[in-house]
Amino acid sequence: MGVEKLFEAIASGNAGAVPELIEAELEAGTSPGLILKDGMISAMELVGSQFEQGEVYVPEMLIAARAMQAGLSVLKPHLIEEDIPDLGRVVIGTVQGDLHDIGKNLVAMMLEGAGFEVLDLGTDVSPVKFVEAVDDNTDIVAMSALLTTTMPQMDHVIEALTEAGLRNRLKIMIGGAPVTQVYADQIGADAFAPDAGSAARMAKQVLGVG
Amino acid sequence: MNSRERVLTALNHKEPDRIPYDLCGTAQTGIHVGAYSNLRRHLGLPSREANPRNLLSQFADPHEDFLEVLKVDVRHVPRRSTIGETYEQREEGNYWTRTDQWAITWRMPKTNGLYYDLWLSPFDLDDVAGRLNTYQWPDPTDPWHYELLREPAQKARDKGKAVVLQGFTAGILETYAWLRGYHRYFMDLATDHKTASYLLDKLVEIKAVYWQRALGELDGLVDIVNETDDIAAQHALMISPDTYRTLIKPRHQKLFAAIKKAAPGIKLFLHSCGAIRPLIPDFVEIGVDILNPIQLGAKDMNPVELKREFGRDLCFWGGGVDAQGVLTSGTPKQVREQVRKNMDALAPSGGFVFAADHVIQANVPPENFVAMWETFREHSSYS
Repeated sequence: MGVEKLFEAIASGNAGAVPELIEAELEAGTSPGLILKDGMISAMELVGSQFEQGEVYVPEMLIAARAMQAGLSVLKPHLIEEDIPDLGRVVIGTVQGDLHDIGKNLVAMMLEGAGFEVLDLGTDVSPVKFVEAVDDNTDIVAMSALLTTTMPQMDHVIEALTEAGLRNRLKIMIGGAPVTQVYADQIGADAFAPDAGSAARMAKQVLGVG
Repeated sequence: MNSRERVLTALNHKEPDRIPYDLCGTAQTGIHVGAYSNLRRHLGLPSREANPRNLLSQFADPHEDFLEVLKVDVRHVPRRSTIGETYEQREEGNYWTRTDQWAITWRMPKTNGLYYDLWLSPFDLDDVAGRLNTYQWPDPTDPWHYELLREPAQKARDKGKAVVLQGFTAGILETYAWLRGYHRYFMDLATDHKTASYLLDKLVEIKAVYWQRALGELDGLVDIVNETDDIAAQHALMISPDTYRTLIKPRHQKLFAAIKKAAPGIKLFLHSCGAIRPLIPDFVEIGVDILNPIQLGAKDMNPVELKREFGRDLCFWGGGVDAQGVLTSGTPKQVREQVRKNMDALAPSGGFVFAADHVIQANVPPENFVAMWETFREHSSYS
């Protein structure tokens, strides 16, 4: 079945093969929702769990994400047509003073791969910018920091969201090399993910979806 | 026993009079300018300007009185850097930027900025071959790189200190990532080994020429060669062991062999932080003598296990205290307890130079540093 082939293409990072496989499935009458769920999201779930287990690494994740993005650009118009909702809306960024983005980019890709709609604010994102990016549809604010010296910015962002009256209707997820569950608990974050592989899983858990 | 003898004894897997101590002796055992100023004040040393020795990391260029008070056994030979700092600082919007000899541009946020980070990479484009036609590689035969080396090396030798010389640029993998941009670099490792091989080979060649020249000119004045390459993150390697062994290991092997040929008997220090354990046997195989920094908070970097498994073949330079954890956010009491434990694990039979398990960052309280140092001093005697 084509969906299996699509699954393999995405999991192995074969972006070139993806558009054709999707077109073939659409022509065969497979629903866009099923193509997305069984052919693409499940593939990214596998890659995510392989990453968590230490079976694949950053390069393999990136090419799988690239294949996923190639697939999404072909499938998106069909998903919109069929009114297939995303799993949730995430605003993500690396905190102020911190310019590191590979980890954050991987998380964004894995969240997209899981079916979330992601707004990536980039790096060196001030608390004000996080607040401004949140709208009525935002479910999760996700923050990344690589350094012990920039990690405290996460607390400032939570403060800013609280002051803006937004904290209670959002879930806050944090991650990055120095970040720990202890720190997450300290600042009142809702979830902590140690790596990009587990991030999508945690996001679904924290929203009670998927 | 002077400092140099102490360090060399330890590096030859014997117990010297006391465990040697390093701070600022290598490119990776530094202290951020912010922490340096705080610590000088705390130690009652006269106020001196804290200048960065390394622009990217903002490590302080320590004054000699600081190193003497702390009884540091190692001295770093200052070499002119090609990375990050050759050209003038510019102001671009909310950032300070600098472009270096590799045509890499770095930037630091003006607000709350602590370091320069990678911004623009000269090979962050599709047409690598085209760019190579116009690209000027830094020239390792330029006397500019060697003019200022001999005097500080001789001075450090005369003071009886162990002398460390840094490499030309950072590791081949890191420099490759900076030349290509992180995204393309990781993608290359998955899908374009041709580009990766070409650029890595070029970097090995440049670095080997530098080492041959530098070690020749300094003729016996250098005790330790400071190489580096970052391959691991906090919880895992960034690339698969297979990728490392296929693409990078042969090149590391070639480079390390060239270094040892240029200076037989010299000790090879490799910085490779994070969860690097799966590759340690490979490092031993290709001639690494000293591993740094033994990042305690990273996965599987347990000092007791590492000493047991690799202590015969490898020296550990670092691992004294968890800089990400206890040293930054613990109490002095917690710092003391951890330092004792780590020393007990790593010191037996020599092969250990004490340093924090990574850089002393700006937010490390001076009280914690002092707790670390005092505990080290109290227990560093081998007799």
